[in-house]
Amino acid sequence: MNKSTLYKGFLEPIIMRLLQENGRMYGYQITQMVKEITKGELHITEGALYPLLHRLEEQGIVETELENIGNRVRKYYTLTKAGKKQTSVAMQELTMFMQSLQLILNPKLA
Amino acid sequence: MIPQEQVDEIIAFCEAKGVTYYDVQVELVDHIADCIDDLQKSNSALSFSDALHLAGNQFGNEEFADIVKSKKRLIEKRMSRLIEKEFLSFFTIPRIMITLLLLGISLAVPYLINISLWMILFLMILGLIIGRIHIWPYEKEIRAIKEASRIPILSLTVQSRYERFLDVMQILMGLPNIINLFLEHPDIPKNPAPFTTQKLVTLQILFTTLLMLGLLYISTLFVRRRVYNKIFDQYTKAFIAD
Repeated sequence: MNKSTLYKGFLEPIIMRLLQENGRMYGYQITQMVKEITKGELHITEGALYPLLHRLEEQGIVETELENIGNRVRKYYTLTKAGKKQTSVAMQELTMFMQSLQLILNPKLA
Repeated sequence: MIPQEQVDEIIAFCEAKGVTYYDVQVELVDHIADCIDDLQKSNSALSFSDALHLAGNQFGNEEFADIVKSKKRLIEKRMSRLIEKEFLSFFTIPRIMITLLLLGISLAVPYLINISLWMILFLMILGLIIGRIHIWPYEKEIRAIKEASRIPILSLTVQSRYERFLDVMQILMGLPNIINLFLEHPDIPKNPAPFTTQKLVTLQILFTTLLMLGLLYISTLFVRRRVYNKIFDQYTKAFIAD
């Protein structure tokens, strides 16, 4: 099965979790950190990352600030207050989902 | 840190891929520049143009278009949501009462005093002119910000569904309808009291519709002004001349 299909549904909580852990982050940094943490297992494509970040911004989950980095501008994303709350809920839901998945994959644990 | 000429090349690359809007381009340029930096760190023999080719290829041709498309959709949604909120904020109980009172008065006036359709038309046009003068500074400010941007900004160009609706209504509700009201009765100018209930109802519907459309237009102006000022503060670089 295609790994990226498996990860697709988890992209949003993954990004929210990274922002919760690291404060403010920019697009490229997120892709690199995911790659580093998953030891290259998960590669977030730019075409999936930016539309998702833009959607989170519109939903008020993240806010952005622009900063001049020498000769170019960098856009940083930070979780909003509502975003922080939503991340905690998303993490709880994800944990429960993983436990359920574990029970399906390994019924002996039940 | 890559030099300015190379940043300019990345911008040109993004533009060639269809990302011409500053508010979308800014983070993609930074992304590609970071990627080039990393590629050249891991392979010092790699030329800038090869690195740009590799970094750009990571996106894929359709991904650039997808990013612009999704951003456009989100801006459109946000604008519509903000306009809806602004429009509905008018409907507080005191404001509704005053509006109903004014509508009631305008309904009763033709029965109370001898007033012709021409006079009503004159009063409506006068009302429109007064309204127009009142909102003129807002329109001017919005136009000034739009004209000041030296690079296209997506948030300044996307229209909400309400703005598109107003454009269509402007055509449909234009002058022909008002003229039509008189064309059916060529003897009206000679008759000082041409009112029938049917005409009065037509006028009331027209008046209420114009009032609602005017309110919607004012809501779009208020929202645009707020959003444009925010964009001006956020993307100052796009407004500063070289």
